Amino acid sequence: MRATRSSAPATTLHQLQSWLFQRVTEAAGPARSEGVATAADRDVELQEHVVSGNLAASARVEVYRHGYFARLVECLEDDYPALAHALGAARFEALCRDFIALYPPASASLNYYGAPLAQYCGRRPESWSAFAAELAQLEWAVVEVIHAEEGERLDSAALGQLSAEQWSALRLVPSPALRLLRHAYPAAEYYQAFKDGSAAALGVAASGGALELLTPRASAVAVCRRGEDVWRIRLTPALAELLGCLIASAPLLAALERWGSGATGVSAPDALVAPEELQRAFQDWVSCGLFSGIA
Amino acid sequence: MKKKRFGLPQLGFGVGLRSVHYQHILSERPQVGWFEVLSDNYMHTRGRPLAFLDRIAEHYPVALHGVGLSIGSSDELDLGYLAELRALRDRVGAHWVSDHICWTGVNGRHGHDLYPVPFTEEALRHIARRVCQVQDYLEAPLVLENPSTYLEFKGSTLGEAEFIAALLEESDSGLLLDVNNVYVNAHNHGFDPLGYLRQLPLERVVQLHIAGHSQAQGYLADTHSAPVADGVWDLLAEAVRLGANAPLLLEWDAEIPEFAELERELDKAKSRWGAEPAELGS
Repeated sequence: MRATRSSAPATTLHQLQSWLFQRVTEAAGPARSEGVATAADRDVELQEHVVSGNLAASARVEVYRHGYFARLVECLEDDYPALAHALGAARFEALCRDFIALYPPASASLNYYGAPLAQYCGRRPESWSAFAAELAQLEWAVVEVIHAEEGERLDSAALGQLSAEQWSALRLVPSPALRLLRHAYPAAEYYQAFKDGSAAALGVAASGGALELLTPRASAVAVCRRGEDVWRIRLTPALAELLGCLIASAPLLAALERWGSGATGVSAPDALVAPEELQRAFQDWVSCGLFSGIA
Repeated sequence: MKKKRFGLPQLGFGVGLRSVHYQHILSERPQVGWFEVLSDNYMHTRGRPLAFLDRIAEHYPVALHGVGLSIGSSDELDLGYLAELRALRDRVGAHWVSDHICWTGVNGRHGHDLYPVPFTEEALRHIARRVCQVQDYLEAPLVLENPSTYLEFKGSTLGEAEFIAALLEESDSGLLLDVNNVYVNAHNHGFDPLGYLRQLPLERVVQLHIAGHSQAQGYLADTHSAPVADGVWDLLAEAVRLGANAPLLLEWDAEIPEFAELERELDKAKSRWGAEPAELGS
């Protein structure tokens, strides 16, 4: 027989957990709480459930409430360091808190918690939202390829042994750890500057570099992982169109012909790529492991 | 429990595996007995983290330590989580699997924190039943850690140590005794840490944790961000003297220093006993 030391009213485990979880995850204290009429009622509940001792019951709950938001903000900051830099600490945290309120974690894993952030940025009303959405999309692509299976690597020597007939029907299999992104803003350029330590924050209003970020300028980037290395290959819109066709499993020659004819929708000046440049790009794509094999 | 520590091996002194140390570990092969792997970081990935873990597990013994099992939740057990956990355990040949006596979410939502359980008969029966389910699924003992907590429920009818002792006995599970957590909880809830240790079935200790904590406003925070406090070293010595003879692991999760500092911290443990922990407490 175990000793009973409780004087609190009986509450089931589920009721108690539901109560504490609501208190811990509410964004801004009593005003947003559901189902509790007044601050006085809330305090009565708190005193009913939580031992105070050397720290007030409210302060004890606050430890967990603070931890909930801090942990999720930290998770988003880990996944989106360039976006955090671009927005500045205060603006990024405010963005994260709004995001957390709309997207409470629904999985036991935090690995993919930040996935909807790019989409969410794009719906924000601020002047920086479109650029932020594309930068977030790029950073999420990096996260995705880090967690993606690497897959086989296309053997470039095998390509050299193909007959002309085989070349005409050749389809390439993209690596599972490859993402192709087309942007209206120079997101990949900014990300590289961030990596180099030279990226301006959007909060520096007087900075010409920062303002330039909010001016549309088409760009594209392929993100791919091989082993420990994550590659970011910046592409012209024309090369991005070609790579897009190949990723979509178009036969190589058909893709080249379609691309060369301008049928991909790329404007004529962009489509003009010297054969040597095309060859070099293709070699880069193969050597960086963008393809896993031949279909 | 038929055999001491369920027959699990004495792995000696280890440290928690953190990604900032991957390259150092693989290139320098530091002299540590084993690594504890945060299972949740490797369960929903098929990419780079898992590739590093595979390589490290080729050279070192590993054990899995999780934060997402939510064994104390009133929600249903997450069978998908369990399947991933078992697959990871089998993939890296982990010697055992541990998690915390806590809950991390309810009503299908997740807080990603270790929330305290009320020490009631209802919670005891509920958690013991779930531990048995998990052990059946894993076909191995589950090792449960006493978590650091910042609040206790008025509805509790048992003390923390009494609750843990009963849970381990009823579910025939192992204990991961986190000595820092005992120290932190004793301060935060005002109990005697030695009395707490004496109530635990220390023959069930499969693993020991030590870590640093920090002083917050009015309480101690289990931050794993500093060297182990003197009081924790003293409490560890008491735990060992009372029979908690098990592999020892240093956790460091925030403001993570270079690997050499972790080794120096482990050396403090070694210098206290002058031997591998097989002889600790003998």
